[in-house]
Amino acid sequence: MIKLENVSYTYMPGGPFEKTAVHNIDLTVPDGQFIGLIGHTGSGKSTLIQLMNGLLKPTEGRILIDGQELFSKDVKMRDIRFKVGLVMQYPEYQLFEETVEKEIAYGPSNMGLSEDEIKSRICYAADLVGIPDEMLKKSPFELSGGQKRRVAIAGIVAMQPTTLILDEPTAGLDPKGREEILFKIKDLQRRMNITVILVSHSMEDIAQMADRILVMNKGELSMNETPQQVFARGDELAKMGLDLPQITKICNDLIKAGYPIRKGIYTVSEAVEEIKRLKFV
Amino acid sequence: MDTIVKVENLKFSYKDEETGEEIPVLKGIDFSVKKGEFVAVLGHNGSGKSTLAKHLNAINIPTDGKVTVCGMDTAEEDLLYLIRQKVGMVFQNPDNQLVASIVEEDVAFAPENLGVPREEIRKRVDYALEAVNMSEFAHHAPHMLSGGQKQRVAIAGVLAMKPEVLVFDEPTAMLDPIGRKEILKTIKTLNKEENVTIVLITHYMDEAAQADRIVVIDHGKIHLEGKPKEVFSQVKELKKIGLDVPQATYLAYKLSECGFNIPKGVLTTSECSEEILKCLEDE
Repeated sequence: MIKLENVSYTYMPGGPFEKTAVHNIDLTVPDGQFIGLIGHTGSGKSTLIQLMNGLLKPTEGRILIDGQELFSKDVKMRDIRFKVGLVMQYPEYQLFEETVEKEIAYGPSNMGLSEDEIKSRICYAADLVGIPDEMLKKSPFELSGGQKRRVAIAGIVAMQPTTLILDEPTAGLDPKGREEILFKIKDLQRRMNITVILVSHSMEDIAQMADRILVMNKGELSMNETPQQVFARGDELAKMGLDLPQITKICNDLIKAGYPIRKGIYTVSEAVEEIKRLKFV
Repeated sequence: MDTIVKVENLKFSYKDEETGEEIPVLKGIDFSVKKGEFVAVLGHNGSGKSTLAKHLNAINIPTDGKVTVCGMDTAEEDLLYLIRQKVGMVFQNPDNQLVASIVEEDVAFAPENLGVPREEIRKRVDYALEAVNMSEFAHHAPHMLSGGQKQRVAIAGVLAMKPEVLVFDEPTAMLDPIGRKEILKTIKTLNKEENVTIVLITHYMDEAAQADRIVVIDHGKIHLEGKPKEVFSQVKELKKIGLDVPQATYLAYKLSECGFNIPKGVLTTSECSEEILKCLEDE
């Protein structure tokens, strides 16, 4: 469980470019949930996830991972990083090893695992993100963008973190590549019962995947609710410069025209059911 | 309208360095772009769409077939500079396209290299920044700008060469929703007001929906071609080759399958809402 208590973070405090990026965040992320994190550029999303695995130290407040307080003397940062895996934006730019296999092994090797365990971790991670065996001996630099992205994710997954944070894992991929990666992540979350925090600009992706949505606005956590509750607050989202899923917009148009439709609908199948009900009553 | 870009039976392959095997990427493409047109090119990763784009200003030269821009054959080495002035390219990552530490110096880079006289450079830089709505940032440092603003500076840098055609290779892939909207608006303004011919390569279906015509590439060949309405009415066909349709289009398609009288190829949310309301009022 990740717990943030009254956390704030200020970049360059006291300097001319001082900026408070997140402000007074109180948040509990229970285990095993799929969390979507959205917010306008500059809203503090990236700062928030970097705080969660100890890349940044809170200016105020404290962060607990499974009851252990980050930056307290008796907690080793290494252990936290193994527990909370962070996949950054465009992680394929961080690949450096000669082969895909070595690339995935990098994290587990640093955990001091045995050779056998490392091998089984490679197979495990490769399987989970959908990397075929014949690709393991190849250089990661020969692969396509989407494949490289999976290798980078596998490198984190191989450490078997209990929380996996991904910053825009589908940016720049085609629709099929996007869908494949998202479903692999969802599958991983269900099978291993881990917590996933997905940062995305795509409302459609978030709507499809998340159990719960966090909305950041101007450094504050302004919503922490189910997708349906969040998307029912369309006017507020629009004010924050966020878009609604297309389906929600269409349903809102119907509501405005006086038709009795449930608020906060965000999938095509739900919308089809509701609209059918209107027509055939 | 005159044809400005003509691609005839274009084939392109590259050699695998390990095996020495020829790997075909483009397998016979015929397509042309008319002056003033806005064409979107869709296709999944690896379909060959970026390879096609790079043929339009002689970054790639055809293995077989022919590409002509403004009547010039791209295989003619002597014409290289002229071709690159006529057809400008904008790439995905704005950070890779900016070279100077001040916005207006960056925009001046290309005309300076072409040996354009000083007064003319001034005019072109002012015009280019105005066209992308970045004049007020002329004296700023590019690295302090947002992604969308940087990308607009990159576009201004190309515009300063006064190209006839602009080719965009996934210009919004690295931007947030607001940045994406800025770029799309800029592209449409350039097309409508400055009469620049546009070729836009994208993964975003809602961006492609705003073009005059869409070309869908799959496995190195043209798979579908037509107005956005025509192309997006082929929902099954697009899904089959790993592409998607906008959610509004998909909802309209699903409802028409359930017996709603909704025309094919609905493109926007407002259009979709209107059609549904019409159906409901008919009851």
